[in-house]
Formats: sequence, C-alpha cells, structure tokens
Amino acid sequence: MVRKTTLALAAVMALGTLAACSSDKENTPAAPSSSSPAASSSSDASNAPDAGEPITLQFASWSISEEATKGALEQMAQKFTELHPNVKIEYIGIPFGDIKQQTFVMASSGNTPDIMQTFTATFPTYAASDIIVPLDDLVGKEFIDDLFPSYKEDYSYNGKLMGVPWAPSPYILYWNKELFQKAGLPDRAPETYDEMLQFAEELSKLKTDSGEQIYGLGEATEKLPINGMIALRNIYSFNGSLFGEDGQVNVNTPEVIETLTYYQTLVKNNLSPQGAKLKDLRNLFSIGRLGMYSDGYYGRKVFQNLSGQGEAFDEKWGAAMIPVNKTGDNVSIGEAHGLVISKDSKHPEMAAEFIKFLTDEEMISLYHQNSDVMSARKSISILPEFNSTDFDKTLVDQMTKIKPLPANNPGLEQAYLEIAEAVQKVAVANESPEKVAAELDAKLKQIMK
Amino acid sequence: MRQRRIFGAALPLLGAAAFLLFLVFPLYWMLLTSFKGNSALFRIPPEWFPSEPVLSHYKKLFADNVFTTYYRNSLLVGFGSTAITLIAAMFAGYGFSRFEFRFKSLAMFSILSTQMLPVVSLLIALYTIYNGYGLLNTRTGLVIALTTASLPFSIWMIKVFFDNIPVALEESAKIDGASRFGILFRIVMPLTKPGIFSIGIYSFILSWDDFLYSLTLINKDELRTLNAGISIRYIGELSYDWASIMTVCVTSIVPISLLFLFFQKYMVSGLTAGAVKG
Amino acid sequence: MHKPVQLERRGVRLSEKAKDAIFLAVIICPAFILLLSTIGIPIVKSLYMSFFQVSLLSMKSQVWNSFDNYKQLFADGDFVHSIGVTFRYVFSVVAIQFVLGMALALILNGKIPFRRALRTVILIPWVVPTIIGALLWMWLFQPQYGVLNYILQSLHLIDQPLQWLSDMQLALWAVMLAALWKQLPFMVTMLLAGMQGIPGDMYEAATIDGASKRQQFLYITLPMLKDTIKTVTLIACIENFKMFPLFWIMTSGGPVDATTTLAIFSYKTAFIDLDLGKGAAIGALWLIIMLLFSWGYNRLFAIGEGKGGSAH
Repeated sequence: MVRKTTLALAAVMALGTLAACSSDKENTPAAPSSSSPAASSSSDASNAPDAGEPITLQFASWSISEEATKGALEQMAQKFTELHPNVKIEYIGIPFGDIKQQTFVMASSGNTPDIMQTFTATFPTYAASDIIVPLDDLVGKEFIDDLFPSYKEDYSYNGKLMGVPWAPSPYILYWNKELFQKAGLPDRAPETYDEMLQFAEELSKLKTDSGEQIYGLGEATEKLPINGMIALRNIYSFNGSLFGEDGQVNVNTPEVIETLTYYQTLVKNNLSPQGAKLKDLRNLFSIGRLGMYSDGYYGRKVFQNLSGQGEAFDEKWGAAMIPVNKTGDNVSIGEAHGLVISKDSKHPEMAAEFIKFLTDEEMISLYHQNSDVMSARKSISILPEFNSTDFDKTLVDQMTKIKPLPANNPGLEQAYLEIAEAVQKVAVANESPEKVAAELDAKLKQIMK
Repeated sequence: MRQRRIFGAALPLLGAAAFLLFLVFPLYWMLLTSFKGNSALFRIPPEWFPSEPVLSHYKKLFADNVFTTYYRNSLLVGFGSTAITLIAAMFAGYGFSRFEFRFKSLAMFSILSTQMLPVVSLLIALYTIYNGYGLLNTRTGLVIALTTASLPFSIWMIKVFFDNIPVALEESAKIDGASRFGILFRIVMPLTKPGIFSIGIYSFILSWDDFLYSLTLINKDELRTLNAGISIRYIGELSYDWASIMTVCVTSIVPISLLFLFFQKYMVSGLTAGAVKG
Repeated sequence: MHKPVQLERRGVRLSEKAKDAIFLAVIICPAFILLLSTIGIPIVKSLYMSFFQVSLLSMKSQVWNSFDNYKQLFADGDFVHSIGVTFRYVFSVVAIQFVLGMALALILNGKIPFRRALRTVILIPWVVPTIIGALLWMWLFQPQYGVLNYILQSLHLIDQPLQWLSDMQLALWAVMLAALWKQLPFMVTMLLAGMQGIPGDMYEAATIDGASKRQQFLYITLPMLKDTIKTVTLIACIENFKMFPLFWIMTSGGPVDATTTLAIFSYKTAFIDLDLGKGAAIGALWLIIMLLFSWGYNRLFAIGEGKGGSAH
C-alpha cells in the first residue's frame, strides 16, 4: 500500500513538473510550437492568454457542492491556479436537477458561466443550442483522437466535438455475493440475460430476516430522461435501436416490443421495484434488498456510505459486464459527465486549457482515487492506475464494448423522456407493449425530425 | 344519554389526537432519522427510539460552516422582504380600503394576477429583468423579488383588516386636524397592529419557503439562502443520504420554529383582532 | 391646520378631493410600481412571447407564428389532461384542507386540555419549507423501507406495501397528503383566529334560545367566518394552482402523466421540449383560467353575502 502511494506520488510530481513546463511554454508568446497536443492547440500566439492578465473562469457544476466529489474538485482548481497564477477558478454550485434550466436561463442574458458541467442525457440540448461553442480547434486533434470513439460520438454534434467527456462510465452489472449465496446460486454473475432473469427469480424468493421482500434485478423506471437513456441499453441488448435500416426513426419493432415486455415482466413478477430512480436502486442494493442492477462507477462509494459498513462492504458484491443477450456480446452504453464551453466565455482558450487539465492523467487519477472515475481517453484508461482492481478492469473492459447513443439531435433529450414514459406505461400502468411501442414510434418520429 | 355525553366529550380529544399524530409524527420521524446511523436507518421493523443515537450527521453538518452562512442569508433576506412588504402592503391596503376610485377592482385584480403564475414559467423573463437592473447576486435583488412574491396576498389580507376599523374614528381625528399620514400612522396602524403582525409572519414564511428565486438570482455561495443550499448539497446526483438530509432539515427548522413559537402568542391574537367582523 | 394655511398663502388651493387623490396615489404607487417593474414586465413579455416561435436552443430568434402555439395547445391532449389533473389536485386539497382545518379549529376552540400547547405545536409544519417537506414525505412514503408502509402493514390495514408515489391511482393523493400536512396549519390558524373573533354572547343568546351545537355552527360560526374563509381559501387555491416544487421533487409528473399538473407541463414544454413560445402560451391561457376562476370565486361568495351581511 505504502509503495503504491509513493509511486503514485512520484508520478504526480513528475507530471506536475511536466505540466508546469508545458504551461510555461504556452505562456511565452515566442515559444516555438512543440509537438505536444497541449501546446499545439494554443500555439496560435495571438490568442494565447497573456501570463499577466488576470482571468476568472466561472465553472458551473453540481459535483463541486456534493460531498463525495467536493474535496477532489477543490484540489483540482487549486492545482490549476498553481500552474496558472493569473487564473482564478470560480465554482458555481447548482443542484444536479436544476443545472440545465439554470444555465439556459443565464444564457438568455448572456451571463453563461465559461464552463458548464452536464451529463449524457442532457447534453443533446446543449449540443444543439447556440449557447456553447465547438471544441475541435480549442482542444486540438490529438486530444480528440485519443477519446474512445463512442464517447467522441456521444459528445459531438454535426461532426463537431461540442463537449468533452470528463468523468465517463459504462453501465456494468453489480451483484450481491451474499444474496447469491443465500439463494444457492453460483458465485459468479450471470452471463446471459436468460440466466440473469433466472437468477433474479431465485433471488426474489428470498426474504430479509424480518420477512421483507428482496428484489432480484432492479431497473430504473422513474420518469426522467436518464432512465429513457438507460432503457436504450436494454433495447441495444435486445438487438434493437431507435432507427430502422434506412436511418429513420422506427421503434415499432419486435426488438423494442421485446424490451418493453422485459420491463413489464420484471415489475409484474416483483423482480424489480417499480418506479425506482437509480438513486433508489443504489440504496436498496446497499442494504441487501436488491440482488442485481446496472450502474456506472458511482456504485462503490455510495454503497460504502449507505450500507454503514464502509470499505468492508466492498467484499460483499461483485461487478461484471452486462450479460449477453440477443447480440451475442456484452452490450452496454456509456454515460459521462461532460464539460462544455459557453459562447459567452471571454477566455475560451483558457477554459479549454482547464478542461484539458481536468481530463489529463494527473487529475483524472486523482479523481479516480477519490471516486472511481474513469477516463474517456484511450491513452489514460490503459494505465495501471485504472486497471488495478477487478472492479477497475470490469469498467475498462466494458468501456471497450459500449455502443454509441443516437446521434445528438435537438429532440433527443425529449425522446429519452418519452422512452422513460413508455417504460412506465408498460411497467406501472400495465399497458400492452405493442400499443406503447406504436405510440412511442409516432411520438419519436415527430420529435426527432 | 350519559354514554352519549361521554362520547361527546371524548370525540374532540380523539380528533385532536389524530390531528396531532398526522402533523407531528413526520417531524418526530425526521428528528429520529437524524440520530440514526446508516446501518440502523433502513432496518425493518424500524427503531422507534434510537438504541444507539449517533451525532455523526450533526458533526458533519457543522464541520461545514457554510450552513451558518446560508442561515444568516435566509434570515436577513426574510426580514428585509418582510419589512418592505409590510410598509408597501399597509399603504396600498389602506388606499384600497378607504377610497373608492375608478378601476379599483381592476387594480386589485391586476395586483393579484401577478401571483397567479408559477415562478418557474417566468424564470427567463425574471432573470432578464433583474439582470437589467443589475440586481443579480445581490441580497437587495433577492429581497425585492421575495417582496413582490408576498406583497399581493398581503395587500388583499391587510385590506380586510383595515375594513374592520370603523371610519368614524378617522373622521374625528380629521376634524381635530390630523394629516392623512398622521391618521394612518397614529390612529389606524395601532389599531391593526396585531393584523399587521400576522401578515408579517405570513410574508416571512413565504420568503423562508422560497427556493427558485434564490437559486436563480444568486450564484455565489456566500449569498445563497438555506433552501438553495440544502438542495445543492443534499438533493444530489448519486444517492439519497436520508440521514444527512433529515439532519439538515432538523437544523433548519428548529431555530425558526422557536422564533415562530415565541411570536405565536401575538400572532393568534393578531389574527383574532383582524377577524372581528364589524 | 398648518399646512392648508401655508398652501393658501402661496396661492395654491387644493380641494380636499384633490388632496385625497394625491394621498391615494402616494400610498398605492409604491406597491404598484414595485410589482409592475419586477413581475409585471416579465408577465407582459411572456404574454408577448406566446405569439412567437421561440426555441430554448436559440432564444434570440423570435418568429411570428400566427397563433400556432395556441393552436397546438388546443389540439394537444396533454394540455387538457394537465388542466384536469391540476383542478383535481387543487379542489381536493383545498376542500379537504378546509374541512379538516375547520374540524381542528373547532376542536381547538373548544375546552380541551393543553389547548394552548396544542395550538402552538400544530403550527410547526407550516415553517417547514416545501422542498424539505417534499423530501420528508418521500422518506416516509418510500415503498421498501418507508415507515408508513410498515405502520399500515403492522396494523393489517394493507397486506402489500403500497407504491405511493409510483402508483397510477395513488400518486396524486400521496402528493396531496404532503401538501395537506404543510398547509393545514395555516388554514387552522386563520379559521381559529376568525372563530375567536366571534363575540361569545352570540353563542350564549343562541343557547338560551335552545339552538343545538350544529345550529350554532351553521347559523353563527359559518356566516361570521365568511370573509376569513373566502380570503384563506382563495389564497390556498392560487398557491396550489401554481404548486411546482412538491411535484417536481416527489414525482416529476409521473408515473406516466398521473401527476402532470399545469406547472409541470409548462416546465416540461419550456425546458425539455425546448419550446419557449408554447410554454409562454400555456402561461397566457393559465392566466386567463385563473382570472376567470378568481372572478367567479368572488361572485360566488358575493351571492351568498346578501345586503345586511356585514353591518358595521
């Protein structure tokens, strides 16, 4: 343990010096453009910020005020200021559920913060709007080429990179080892959907000591855009898509109907709690009332806190790739906190510099240690720090097997919400999947013109 | 007959007990939750009294001293907007009560109509106008916004209080040579003091309840109010940390309840006085 | 007498009527100007915007679209549905609140032990901010480990845990319960205060005349409370019409659309469907509905008033 820390520390220091050097170079107008991506992007000397000019970058974020991530982010801002003494990072904490509405309200008066945090389900709205700027020139080609292709696609619009995937995560399957043992199941995660459902049924027969119901397999069905996006993971697994062969919207397909039936069965047979948010599933999993569910990297830290058992709880669950279904592969989707730069920003170059700083090896490693965050950059995600545990490896493996989400479109977020509502229609209101798929098809065709 | 009488006496008691249960039990549960460790939190059957009360949630909360800031801001803004509301509502309410003029009911309804739309559907236009006035990120701006939120109802309510003061009193004062403002301040106001007091509490609670205005008009942590602060810190992305949420809820309502209970004596009598119909 | 003399000397003679007018203007204007310049302008702007095609994606471009926003709304089943949900919510919650509030106020106005303490304690939910109340009730409603299901199950009132906020039939009622909890104290306090203002000798006289408790309530208490009732219920109606945070935090309008009120619908139209013009049109129609409602409300109460109702 000690050796690992020392190593990490050494790496951090080495990187810190490197970064300091490269930033020195940038700040010298006469510096010849080097081959490093950081330098080349801002080698256009006339645009490069003057070292003396005081700059304040406003950064709207929800992670900055949440307990789990606050410390790490403050540290990052401080490190950046050490490298760029003339730059001040001003965090604007906005609740997760309000940040989109609030940033757009600010944009209406040209007050948008320089950098804004967003996430995959909401990003389409930013991407299609006129409040943010394309990043291709700001972050440079090398940076972009280093991104995992599916993430690059998820954060692009009309062929341009509009946001940087910052804290990415594939959805993986979490399973509770204790419950598996109690139900007499093998000590491994299910490999196929059929097996997963079979396990779920066994798990659902269990009761807690006081006779409360235990759920086998949780799916999030609360009415939120993100849950519609998560439903896409299942649609993909059933070999479906939102689009037909011709690239036009078509969800009135056997695959989508099958997915909706899957949701209906889960809730009807009490395998999954109904109307749950992902937050609720995390809580249930932490207290041993849920056998399996899919989530991003966030799971581990949340379980530690909510179970009241701290790190000891890490032993009680396993993480695995999403089971194979109709496609013959472990299909998942990727989610990511993204960073975008506003059109109102007076210092887009410096903002891009900060974003690159946040996604570079040193900072992402720090973030990874703090909260298991992954990197969307290929060169970083193969590093040993990101592959040191089974949990890490599962995440990295799954990351290579994620399918891009539908191309960003002004109606995509609304479409996600419609999908979530469709899932509720079958799961909660018990409507027929065929009818719901037909209705959803009509709606999506109208929304995603 | 006798049975019925006993029943008749017991019924109100039973009713009161039922109401008390409904109103107080959630508060008790909130308090209880804030003293439970996470391992005890989700236990079923639940503990009705913490077997091992923990203070860790409180310690965590107070280690982060930003909450005292939020608290102070909420109080400052609440008192500020209450004061302005009272003055403006008293003037306007008196005008509407004592004078007949053309378009009076139109005026009163247009005042009321400013409260008919939810803030959320006016968010962009509101932000634009406060931005134009240069009032974003200032306490003044928030005070004004909250004042406008409580003013219309306050005017309507205070008018009813003034309606109940016999005009004869003012007329005799007028003959004695008092000015119009003099009459308002020296004769009418003292008579409606209790009513004014209760409207003060009403508008204070309204501004205490506000979330969207303070979230939208204020971006700086040092100026944020309690509700916005709670929501930023505790209605987060990743999980419901129920014990922490309940802890911050308890700390946020205890002092204000005490303040409120202290004033409550005046308030009930205030409402009483206002309700005396001619 | 000082001022008029001075004015006369300067040769300016204002009639009493003119002075009244000036006084009136001086006392009414502050409130009017304040409201007009802060909320009034946004409302007008929003009404104006309702005639244009405006998207959240490009807020600067506003194109006249010849009432298209309104046409779309009238053709949209979701809009009508959300009006239905809103009215159901408002009427139920205000009616229940009024009946229960009246009952509790009567109890507390009678001679029961610990009356003062009780009156004080029941007020606490009122100071609990709505967003905190919403979280508290979500915690109580939690289907798997919430205490409410546990209590109901222990009392054998239900065999299966209820899904509260994610049940098509129950969700709206669950939100109402939370709203009721927060709003009941205000109602009780106002009614109680009104009751205490009724002179005791009226009841004494009635008792001597042999009126029963019920008759006393119907013929003394209710008529005497009319003004209080009118004001308090109108405020409760308006406040609940525009209720947003409770729904947004507890259900986000779901399951499916069971709790999608107008407030949620207009939010969704503006910030998820990204159609600001249509969102503004919802606001405009809403304002019309509310004005008609309040006007009707006033009329309704005026009918019962009669002539000699409030003899000073």
